[in-house]
Amino acid sequence: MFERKNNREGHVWVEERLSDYIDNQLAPLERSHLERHVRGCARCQASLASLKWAISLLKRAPAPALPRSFALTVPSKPAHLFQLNLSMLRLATALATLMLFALVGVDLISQWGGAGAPAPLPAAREIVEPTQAIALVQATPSASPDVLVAPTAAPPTSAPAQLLVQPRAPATTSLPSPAPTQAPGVASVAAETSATKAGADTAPKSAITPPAPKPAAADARATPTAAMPTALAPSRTTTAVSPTAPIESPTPKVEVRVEPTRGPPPPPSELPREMGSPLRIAELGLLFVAVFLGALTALVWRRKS
Amino acid sequence: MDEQGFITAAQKGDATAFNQLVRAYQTLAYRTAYRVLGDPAAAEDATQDAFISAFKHIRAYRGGSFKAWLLRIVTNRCYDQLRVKQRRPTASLDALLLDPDEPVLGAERAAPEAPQDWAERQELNAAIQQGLALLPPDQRVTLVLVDIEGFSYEEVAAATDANVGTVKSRLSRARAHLRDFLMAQPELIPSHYRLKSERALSEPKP
Repeated sequence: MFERKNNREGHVWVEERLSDYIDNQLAPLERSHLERHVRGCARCQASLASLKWAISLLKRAPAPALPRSFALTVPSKPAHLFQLNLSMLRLATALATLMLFALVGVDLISQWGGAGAPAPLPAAREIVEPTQAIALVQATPSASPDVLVAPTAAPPTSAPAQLLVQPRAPATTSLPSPAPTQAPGVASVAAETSATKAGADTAPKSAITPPAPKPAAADARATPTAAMPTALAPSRTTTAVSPTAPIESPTPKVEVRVEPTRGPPPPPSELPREMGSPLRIAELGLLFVAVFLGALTALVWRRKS
Repeated sequence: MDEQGFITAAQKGDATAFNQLVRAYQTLAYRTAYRVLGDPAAAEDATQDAFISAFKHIRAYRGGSFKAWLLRIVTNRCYDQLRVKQRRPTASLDALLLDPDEPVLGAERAAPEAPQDWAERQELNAAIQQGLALLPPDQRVTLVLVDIEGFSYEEVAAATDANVGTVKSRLSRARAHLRDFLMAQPELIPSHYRLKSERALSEPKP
């Protein structure tokens, strides 16, 4: 086909490849075939020349001047803010929702379990008295791991799973205490709180001492203490919360012994109701916060995209 | 800061950094839009829309030729404009043509040129624009990007969402059509720019 210079197929073949030839895109074999054809074909020579000319005109075409600047008007900050805030908003929404679910779950568990005396109430009850809990926690020597104390910085609505010092229902015989190693400390704290609840002020004002080794557990338990109990006193009188499961202990009797008295002990069944309203408020509050944050996140997201 | 720095900042929402990119590419963008659309007002709209869209979607840019990525947005806005023009009942190819009598070119040269030269360049510009207007949009875009703006095949492939083979074939056809138009209407072309056909035919090939 390449050999027949005046063959129509030759012309067509060449014509199709002129553009690639001009751009040096042909394989060596094709290039040499094309050049050989063009050498002997006036028509294809003219075609090649005119094609080159048209391309050169395009390159020489005068460029239109820029009519104006196309720079965007910079918004005063929102775009950047939206970028930043979206991820934070998402996080905040997720956290609020999580806390809400945790709170609600804990509330439900407490309601189901609260009727039975031995059932330990969830630690979330502690949340009801945030200030007291914090005070209690702060009074406790931080070095004492045995005292199951939630992180002091924890906001009232957080750390429901942490076991805390909680005033326990005097009626509950099983004051669940923690595992052996933890028993002393928690029990002592529990003892203190119940002592307080009872209104007993036999405790000398001193910080809780770190739980003694197990043999001395009884002694430790017997030591009522501190500011916490008194701090707890006012609000605790009408509420009683059992410690949570972690504090299951094989020696519930000890706590009972330690308690000097029990004031008017609110039956466990009252607990849900009593503790209910602050808890409900917290739940409602969290619900609103979660919904608000979720709406804000959606708004920012939509505006951003 | 280099281009990548501006891009990264723009991806975080920094509009000032993005405007540096605008400054670097706006002439190219406008020129392309102008050649593809043939109308300065439409080219302005397409260019502005393209930069707004580019900033909005800057986080979709994941590397490679930023020039090609940006021009893809520009050509898409041009296609939008072309579709709009086609929808209008009065639309015709003439709408895409420049009025040869209306000077369009701004003073892109620092030195003042002789009126004759300036007039000739206007004439040439009009002839080219007429030829481009006769091409189907994808051939037109390909021809403008390769032979006017100097894009490589790969850059055009990225800018037009095609493969290199398609780019080559569109280019070949576009060049041939433009050549046919210009050869058929030599009067449109200033004599200074005309093809010396006698020379082309008689010149011995090596």
